[in-house]
Amino acid sequence: MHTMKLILLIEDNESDEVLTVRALEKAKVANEIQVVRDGEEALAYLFGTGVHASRDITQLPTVVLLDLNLPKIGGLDVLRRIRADERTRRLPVVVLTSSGEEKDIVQSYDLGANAYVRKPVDFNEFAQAAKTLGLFWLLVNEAPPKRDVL
Amino acid sequence: MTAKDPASLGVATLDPSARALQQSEEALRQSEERLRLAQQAARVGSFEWNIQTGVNVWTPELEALYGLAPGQFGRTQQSWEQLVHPADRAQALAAVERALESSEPVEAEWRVLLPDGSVRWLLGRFRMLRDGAGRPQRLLGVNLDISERKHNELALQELNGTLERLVSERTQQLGVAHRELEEFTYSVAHSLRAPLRGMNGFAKILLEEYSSGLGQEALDCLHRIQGNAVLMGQLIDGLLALARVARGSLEPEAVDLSSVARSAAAEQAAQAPERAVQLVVRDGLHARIDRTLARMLFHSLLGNAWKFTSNVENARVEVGCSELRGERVFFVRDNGVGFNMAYANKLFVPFQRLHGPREFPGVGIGLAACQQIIGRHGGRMWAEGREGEGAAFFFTLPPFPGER
Repeated sequence: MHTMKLILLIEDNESDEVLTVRALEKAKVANEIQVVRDGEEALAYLFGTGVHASRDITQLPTVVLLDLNLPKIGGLDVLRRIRADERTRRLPVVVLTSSGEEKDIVQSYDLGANAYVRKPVDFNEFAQAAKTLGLFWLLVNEAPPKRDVL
Repeated sequence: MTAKDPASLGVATLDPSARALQQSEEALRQSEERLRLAQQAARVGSFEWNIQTGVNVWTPELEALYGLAPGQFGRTQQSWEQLVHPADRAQALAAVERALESSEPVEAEWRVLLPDGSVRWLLGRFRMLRDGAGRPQRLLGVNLDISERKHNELALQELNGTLERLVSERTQQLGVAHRELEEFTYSVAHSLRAPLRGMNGFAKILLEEYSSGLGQEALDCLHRIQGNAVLMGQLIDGLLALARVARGSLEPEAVDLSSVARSAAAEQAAQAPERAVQLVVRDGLHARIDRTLARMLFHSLLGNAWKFTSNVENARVEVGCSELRGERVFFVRDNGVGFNMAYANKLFVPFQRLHGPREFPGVGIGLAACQQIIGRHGGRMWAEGREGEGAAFFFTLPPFPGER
């Protein structure tokens, strides 16, 4: 049973971070939103290394919101590493990005993204999208069964 | 002597008179003279190489082709070999070998180095004559001066080489430009919209949370900031759409434009169910075009037609085709607000609009994209209109292979 509803937001743009967190909080769907600012930190958080070495990695987020254009390790590479690892390969990942380029959409799905959402410029639409996302992935969607992690 | 009297003919042949002999010698002389003139005119010389005696007899014309004075040729096969350009000698000899082994005509090309240092290209064509037992008797043949043809051939080869080099250079440059454009649009897609979202979003937060402390003018400013950010987002999306039309792959196929036009019109009708627009689409409009781009084209043209007839009673939109100076011209015509022909050239320029956004919404990218689509298929697009009476958009597409 999942008692914690945690969203991992991987976002380097501070404004987007503030707006996304605000929209999610207004939708009142998550207990906690963890924000990481680049791909390297995202992987450290998920696999309990580096600055997140002391973290209990059996506590996986319910959903990961992943930006594509990230410093250090890019979003698509983060997704590839998540899918390649036994511990995270079923973790729901939603790509949340500025780009509507076909190339990005196709590559994201090919690498195993669960959804692709383009961030609208209009904040009303953005807030609506964030709310819908949160509701669906945290409340409607049935999460993959939790497994023992070494 | 008449043709009806075979006996008299036989007598004449068996017993030639002195007069007949004289006639025959004269005919031979004339024939040789004609041959000589013909050889000179055609820059041809002939030879006869007697295999048994080894003597090779050349006509003076052949000697002239090798830069020799009449009678100067050494009359042996070896003296010919010496005259052939060293670089071509092996293959010229190989051709002679081939002739020695068969009774078929043999051809070869070689150069000769003339006494004045210039080079002449010759084509040799010869054939072995054999006796009843198949033994080689005489090699008979001609040489032709083909310098001019050869010169043209070499020049053409060089030109082709240069052309190929140029094409491959240009292709490479195009590839680089294409990649750069791709990277550019990619970074536009990723980076330019985020700050707009920030502007819009934070203005929205001010409006939501702090509107009570703000005056009407401040609220109005915030709304304008929001609206401008959204507009800028639409402009960026328009630019990206245009770039996609310009650089995307093109897969032309036979497309039923009548049905594409009807479904595009149905979309417009569904978006404005309260409007009664009379639609006339001619049946059987076909063209070779990329299907996706054809949909974009009609989506845009019929979208415009619906938009610019929104203030008109009895709106009418027609999609058809006519012949103009032997060319097939498709058109989309409406009886809407129209435009002044003085501004016709601005219609297809990205972001240029003839109406304000309050009159008719839009960012001004649709027609620019339409022109790109038609241009990429090798056609032309233009517009005609009259203020208050309507507009017509015309385009051509290259005929099907096999058509006309």
